[in-house]
Amino acid sequence: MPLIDTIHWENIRDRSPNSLAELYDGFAGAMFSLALEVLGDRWEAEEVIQDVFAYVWKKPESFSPAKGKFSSWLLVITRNRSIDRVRSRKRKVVSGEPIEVLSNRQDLGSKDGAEEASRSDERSFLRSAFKQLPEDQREVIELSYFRGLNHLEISEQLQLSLGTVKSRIRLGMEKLKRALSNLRS
Amino acid sequence: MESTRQQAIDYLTGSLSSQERVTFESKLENSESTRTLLADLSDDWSSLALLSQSSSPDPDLRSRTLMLTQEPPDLDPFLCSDGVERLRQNYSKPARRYLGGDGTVGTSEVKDISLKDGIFRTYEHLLRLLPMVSGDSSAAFGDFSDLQKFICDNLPLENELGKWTDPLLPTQDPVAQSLQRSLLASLPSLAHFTDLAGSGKISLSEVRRIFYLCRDQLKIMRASFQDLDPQQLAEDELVRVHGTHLLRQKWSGARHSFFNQAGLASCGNFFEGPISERCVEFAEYDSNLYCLANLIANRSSAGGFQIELIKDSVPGCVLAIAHAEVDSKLDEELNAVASPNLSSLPGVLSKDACLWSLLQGSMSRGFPNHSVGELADASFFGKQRLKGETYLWFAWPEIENAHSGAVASTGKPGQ
Repeated sequence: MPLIDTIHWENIRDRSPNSLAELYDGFAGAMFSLALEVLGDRWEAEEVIQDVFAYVWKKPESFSPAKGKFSSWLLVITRNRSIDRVRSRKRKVVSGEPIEVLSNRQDLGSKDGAEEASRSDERSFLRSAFKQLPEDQREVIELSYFRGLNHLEISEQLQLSLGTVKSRIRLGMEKLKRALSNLRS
Repeated sequence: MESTRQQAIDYLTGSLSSQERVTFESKLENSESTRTLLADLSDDWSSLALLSQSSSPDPDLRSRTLMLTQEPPDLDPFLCSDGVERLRQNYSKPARRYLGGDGTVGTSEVKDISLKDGIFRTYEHLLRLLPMVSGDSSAAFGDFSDLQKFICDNLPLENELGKWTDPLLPTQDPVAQSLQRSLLASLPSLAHFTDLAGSGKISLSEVRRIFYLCRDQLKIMRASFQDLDPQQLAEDELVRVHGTHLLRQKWSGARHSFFNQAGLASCGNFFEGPISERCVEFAEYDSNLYCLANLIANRSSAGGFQIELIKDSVPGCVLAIAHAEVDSKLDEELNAVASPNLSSLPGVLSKDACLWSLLQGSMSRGFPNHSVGELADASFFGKQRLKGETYLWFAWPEIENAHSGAVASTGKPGQ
């Protein structure tokens, strides 16, 4: 993850000059990549980013360090707002539709900046760890995280029991956590 | 009973029922260890974001986002002015809130066949343009070649505009107003940016601007001519609350042009909340805002202009304001445009006068118990100059209690 920490939140809360710019420069790329992955629509992803930054700027007290890392919180609200938009489109996942959630699109506007360089190791490690998960665990995690389907919807989509969906997500997440812990240590 | 860990995962993934969520949140409030567990899981959950393909936002998004930190302009001089005070004293909300759409006519009422053909041709071209500039198009990801080819082959909008808009005269005739709304509200700026795209001088921010302008233009044309696209118009007539954020998203940091060089819009004081209840109403509101922006964008001394949406300053209504620092000579032009004495108006200002008459027409539909003259006298709309700053505005009835219905967002085709 980029080095976005509680200090950035404190600076925004205290209205320090350039605090929002610093947060943007350090983290907008990660937030934008996530929003674009979920939405598949550049303009909507940009709107989500603006909404989230506006929210953080106007209501910094919505976050508190007791909620965990500031960077995680930013990604949670970016994802949630993106998923809300997907849901508002009322696009139902059709049973039998090929399940390829993560995109393979090419973004000609994408640049390799300093932020990207510092994140690329962790990104490629996570991708590699994710690929090593059993396919059935990958599938449920992708549907949950990137499509915003709840467990019941996933169980209907994949014709699995609710318990199976829950255990696959839990097991997959635990494996990824171990992999990331190894990398970070 | 499921473990707290499983409940926390279910909470994060949005899989708890509302009752289970309340129970879990109560547990969160009372248990430090549950809070710590959730924070840890939240970090793990968020790390999945790194599986997204890496994409860089357009540099223009940075400047638009950082505009959020700018202090909005002090509007007190305007809000305490005689004009707004007059509105405060005279404003009364209409007996029935206007939901847009009353300005529509049938295309059969357009007698000039070539003009009628032009309406359909332009609408169809724009329908084909929209997916080429949408957020999932190749142009939105930096490949402009198909867009450029399409525009060069199909869409010489500047040429069409030149044919149709010279001369135009202000009128309150509904058919002529529908035509003028279709030609003068968002189309000139759209033509400016599509021409840039056609000549290859384009970046992502212009593609985005074309998308919003094209979507608005289609919506304004449908609301102006009821038989142009009846199926989509029926969608536009459904109750769907539109919030001010939709206007902020498209106007904040947007370049805007009206038959001349572009000016840069910024959003100052913007209340947050609903502004219209149907797409057809939003189309009319949009059209009115375009009229104000068109009048002020090219006259700004500094090249920029502000849009503000103010609620509660005049009870019962929302004020839409466009303002900029304007040279006194150019301000005089706007006085002439807003003057009822059109016979003395120089010909070069005829398009500007049409914009003003479009605003008059919309205001008389919104407040049908008053004549246009009464509405102007009571400052329901107007033009005012204060300390070198020129203000243009119109009042619109506020939404007290939004009807139940869907909420519009960018992805909806009819928005």
